[in-house]
Amino acid sequence: MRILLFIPCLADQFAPKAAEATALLLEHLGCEVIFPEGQTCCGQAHRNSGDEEAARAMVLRMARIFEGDEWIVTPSGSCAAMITRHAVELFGSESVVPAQVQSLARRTRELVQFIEEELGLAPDEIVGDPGNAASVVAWHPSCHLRELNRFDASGRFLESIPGLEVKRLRQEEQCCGFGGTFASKFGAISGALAEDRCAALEESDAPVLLCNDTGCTINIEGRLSRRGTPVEIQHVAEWFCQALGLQSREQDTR
Amino acid sequence: MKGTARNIFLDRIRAALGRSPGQSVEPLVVDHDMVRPSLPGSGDERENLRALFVDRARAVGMDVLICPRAEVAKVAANFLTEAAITSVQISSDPIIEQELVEKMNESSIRVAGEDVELDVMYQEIECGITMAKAAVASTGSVVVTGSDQESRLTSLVPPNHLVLLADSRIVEDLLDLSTSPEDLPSCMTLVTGPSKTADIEGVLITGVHGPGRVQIVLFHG
Amino acid sequence: MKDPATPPTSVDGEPILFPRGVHDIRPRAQQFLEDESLQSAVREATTLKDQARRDVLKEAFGDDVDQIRSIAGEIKRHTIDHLDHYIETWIERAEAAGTRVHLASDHQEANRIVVEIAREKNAKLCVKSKSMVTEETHLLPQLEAAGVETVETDLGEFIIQIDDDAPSHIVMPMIHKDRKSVARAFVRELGAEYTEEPEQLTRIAREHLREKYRRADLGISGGNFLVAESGSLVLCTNEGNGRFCTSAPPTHIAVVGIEKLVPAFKDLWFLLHLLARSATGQPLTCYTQVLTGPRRPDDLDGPEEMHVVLVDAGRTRILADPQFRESLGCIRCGACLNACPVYRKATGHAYGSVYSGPIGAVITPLLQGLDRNPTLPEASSLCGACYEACPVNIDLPRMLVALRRKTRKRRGTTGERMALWGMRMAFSSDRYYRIAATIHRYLLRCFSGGSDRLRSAPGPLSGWTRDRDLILPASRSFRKRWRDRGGAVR
Repeated sequence: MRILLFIPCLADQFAPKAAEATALLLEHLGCEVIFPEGQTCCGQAHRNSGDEEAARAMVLRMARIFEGDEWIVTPSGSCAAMITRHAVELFGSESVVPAQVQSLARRTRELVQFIEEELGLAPDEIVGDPGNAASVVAWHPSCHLRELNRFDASGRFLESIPGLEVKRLRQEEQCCGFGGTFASKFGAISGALAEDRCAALEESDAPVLLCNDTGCTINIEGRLSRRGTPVEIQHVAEWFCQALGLQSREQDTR
Repeated sequence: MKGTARNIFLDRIRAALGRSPGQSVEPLVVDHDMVRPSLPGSGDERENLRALFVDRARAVGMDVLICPRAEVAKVAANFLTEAAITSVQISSDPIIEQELVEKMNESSIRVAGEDVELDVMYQEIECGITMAKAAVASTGSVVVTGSDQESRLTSLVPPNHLVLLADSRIVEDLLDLSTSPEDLPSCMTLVTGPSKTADIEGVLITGVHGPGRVQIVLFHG
Repeated sequence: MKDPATPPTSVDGEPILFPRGVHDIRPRAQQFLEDESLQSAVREATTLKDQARRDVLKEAFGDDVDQIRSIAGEIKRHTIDHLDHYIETWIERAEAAGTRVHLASDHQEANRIVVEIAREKNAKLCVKSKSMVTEETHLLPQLEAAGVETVETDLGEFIIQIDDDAPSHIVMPMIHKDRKSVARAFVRELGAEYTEEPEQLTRIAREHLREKYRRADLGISGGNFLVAESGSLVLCTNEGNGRFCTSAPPTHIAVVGIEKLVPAFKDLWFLLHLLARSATGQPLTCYTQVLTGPRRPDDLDGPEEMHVVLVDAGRTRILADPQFRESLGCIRCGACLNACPVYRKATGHAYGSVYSGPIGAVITPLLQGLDRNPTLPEASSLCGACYEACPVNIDLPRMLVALRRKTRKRRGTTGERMALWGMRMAFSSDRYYRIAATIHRYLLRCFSGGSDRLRSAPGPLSGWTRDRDLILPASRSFRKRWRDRGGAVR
């Protein structure tokens, strides 16, 4: 199966290893992975800031770049939600949404969602045991999984990986405080939320946190760094690649 | 004048909605039954309803005693005696009221009149006794009223409330309560537990302004 | 008690509710964030109630919860879309039942109507149960000015009143107060003996208020629902004070927003299945009163007169804008406050409105003006917890974004506009994007002095580095790696 890889700007810049793991994992699962090089951003930042016009332009651009009938797979839950839910809303009612935007929205999937819902694979059909990957992890469900109806589902998917212990964090339903420009504009509130997440993480004693949103990752990583808490954050794809021996666990040099 | 002001008020709303006066409304069709409780498919329906009601009423903090119709007055009097209650006010169905009064007299429990002032009620009446017009199994509620037979205050002011409930009055859900104009009193109150608050640091306290204890006597036959 | 004409003030010296001028949620939030006991009280209460809501809804409705929320939303939306019709029907039926109906276009009119009735009845003492609308209209000072002593009777609201404070949560008004402040207020204002025991404190309030019920010649309440088919007013309460206020005094006035209508009883029952479960985790509040007119000729008791004041006060303005109309469907359960990460941190008074949390961030700007509350719609990470919690399925995140759009059009700081414009340019082609990313990475490296993380950033990023580091972008982007390893592109 041929798929188009959608790597959001934050992942491209801040989490290239997670993006690469996404591609490697998809290839391992038998997909032919194509990266449309013209891609830049889905328009989420502009949409969330109320700049609808700019967001629409970016969505139209995305739709052009990703034209075709292949699935579009992305490692980011929030960008998947932006495309599948909000891109269409930006154009008003169903009838006036350009066909290519409708197609874009219809074909876009977050990675775990794609594996479970479209490839129809259960975790034990992918890995037999954690291998070189961590055997105890904590899980951070990104808020935007709500919009994909995946808030519980992705956690459950991880929990059914053979040999993996998934620690659910206290108040896991509470946002980590990222929210794009919100984090800078409302630094004190956002920082307090990041602290809650990090405190819960420390409490869980898990050496690794799995998360599938670069926004959450840089937020939590930044707070962990400030606190001096040595927990490694990985994308779900990175964990799988390590378990399958496709990627090493070593930290990347930046 | 009043008519004009009213029209201006409504016209503003219509303008906001883009509607014109008297414009018809398509009735709303949704599946209200979605909120109904799931009852066990087998067994006696009335029995199931009663079991569900008792379960839910207890879950919200009301006590339930069950007895045959003939023993209502006795069970009520026993409860009062055990709770060391010495004075009551009864606001109920005349037939049951008669039986209750007789039983209270036997047990030397004072029965106050229905027209006492609030300060007298505060000081002298320890329990209000009323007859439930209906009860709702899915929420564990009993329905009390303010009407020509029942005082609003009897079930509110005294620290204890004793409710008599005929088994046949239990309906499955709120949706089954009768609300036709002739059945709707000036005041219908669904009581779902004793008066309570958690305003101070979330600590649950019962008996704030209303009764802290609600005793249901559920009778059949 | 203090002069009721001066509203209680917050940490910034402005009135807690509806501060003058332009309100910014941040300064208050920052102070409240430093108050550890406030933070822990609000965290405990909100997370507990949020969990209770999930648990009881799941227990009652299993996997149907979302479908039921969506039907409830349809009921409210249908009603709001045909509000003129249902108000007309309600008025007709309510009047037939003997209720006197008054219509108030704005705050002043609502207050004037209530004060006039009080004067006409020669009322001296009024017992009041909870009503959010009267907080909006500032009714109490008006009544006091007219010589009517007015006492809040809901325990939390009573404590707030005597302690010169303001509610900070729709359902748990004194979530921000501890037992010590209650104890002190009771000693000071009621001459009670000092006790911190909630049970004792409740008894003291009970006795104090019983005397008020006995003497009151006027009862004021709000209203949770108005049932069009019967002209009824529905009140949902837990303590019993609402029943007292609507049963003991000879006159009852309910002050209710026009959005409270539902077409028929079946709709009411449907919504009631969700209201208390979403608010406190109860199947229903302890008391659900359906009031249809004043006492009837043969009734044993009840008020001789029942008045309902229907208040518009900005609601038709919301009605007229289709993108915000559904916010009027709110049934004031407070579930979105409990679920909201920002409410949990900023806490209620930061919002400067009787409506706080996500619903407050939407309707406060709509009711009081976006110009006066520009930061409320911004103060959200758009995490969607409120939408998921809302029993009537109001898409609050969508409306927050729509309000941001309005703000952006009207004001928006130059820096922000430039940043958005710059990003838009950068994202308009992959070549620009690569150049911009390189510059961005270079600048951040300069600021960090060669480190892979930034501990203190200048300008707009200083908010970020206040409590956390900024990990710098990787030296090789994904697209570069992909090229380097010869991955398929198009």
